[in-house]
Amino acid sequence: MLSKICRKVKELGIKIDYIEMEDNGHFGIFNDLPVILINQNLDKLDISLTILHETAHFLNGDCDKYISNHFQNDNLEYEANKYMIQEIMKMLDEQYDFTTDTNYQQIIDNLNLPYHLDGIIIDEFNNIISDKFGIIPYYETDYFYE
Amino acid sequence: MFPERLKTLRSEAKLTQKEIADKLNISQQAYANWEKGKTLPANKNLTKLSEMLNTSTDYLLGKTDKIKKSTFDEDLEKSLKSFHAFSGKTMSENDREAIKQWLIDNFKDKY
Repeated sequence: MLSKICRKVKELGIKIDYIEMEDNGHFGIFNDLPVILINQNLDKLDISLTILHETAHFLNGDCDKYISNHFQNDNLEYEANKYMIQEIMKMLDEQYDFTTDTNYQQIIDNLNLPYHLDGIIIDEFNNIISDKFGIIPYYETDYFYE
Repeated sequence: MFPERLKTLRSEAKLTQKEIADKLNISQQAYANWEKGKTLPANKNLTKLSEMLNTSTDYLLGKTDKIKKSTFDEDLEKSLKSFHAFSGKTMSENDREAIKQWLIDNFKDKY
């Protein structure tokens, strides 16, 4: 999965490197070259997630939109997380072939993302299932968006 | 565009046609033809001209209006501004330093 993501990101002309730092990842631009720097201590899954998250900032052109201390930046984060989850769920589906019997709670547990993203994961799971089988499976609605 | 810019920058650098031609190992006539717009220098000489006249080949060819090449420090500062912590919290000093060091390690020798 990671090699597939790296290949995809390189096709976009983004340079990826791994360094010692506190946050999981950072995205920026040097002389028109997009750069994603990843925390070198992450495991493979977190590297995959972080690259997808930072790639979304690139695709969404967020460097130009950024305003410090502004609510808008929460939205940039939300959109980046949504892209990250959509991409990872597509890949998990290719790998494990989701069905209506698939336990999405297990996916949530394995991805181990912050709780407030559970809603997006469930949404994406349901989108994939309804696209595949033309039905909307039963799911609990006891989660809420942040 | 090229002949005018070449001539202007040469005058400003207080160099004669002969001085530049000598440095490039070409005849003064060959150089004069560039300023007259009759011929264009080969890439190798274009690069040497840009170095001699302290500008970029892009400026000489009229592809940009920025005379001076940007320095590494300028590009570094600009780049660092493009790295944000999007999550609302500000990026730590340590991470900013780590990114800065990475940019220096990877790009400084290209200047």
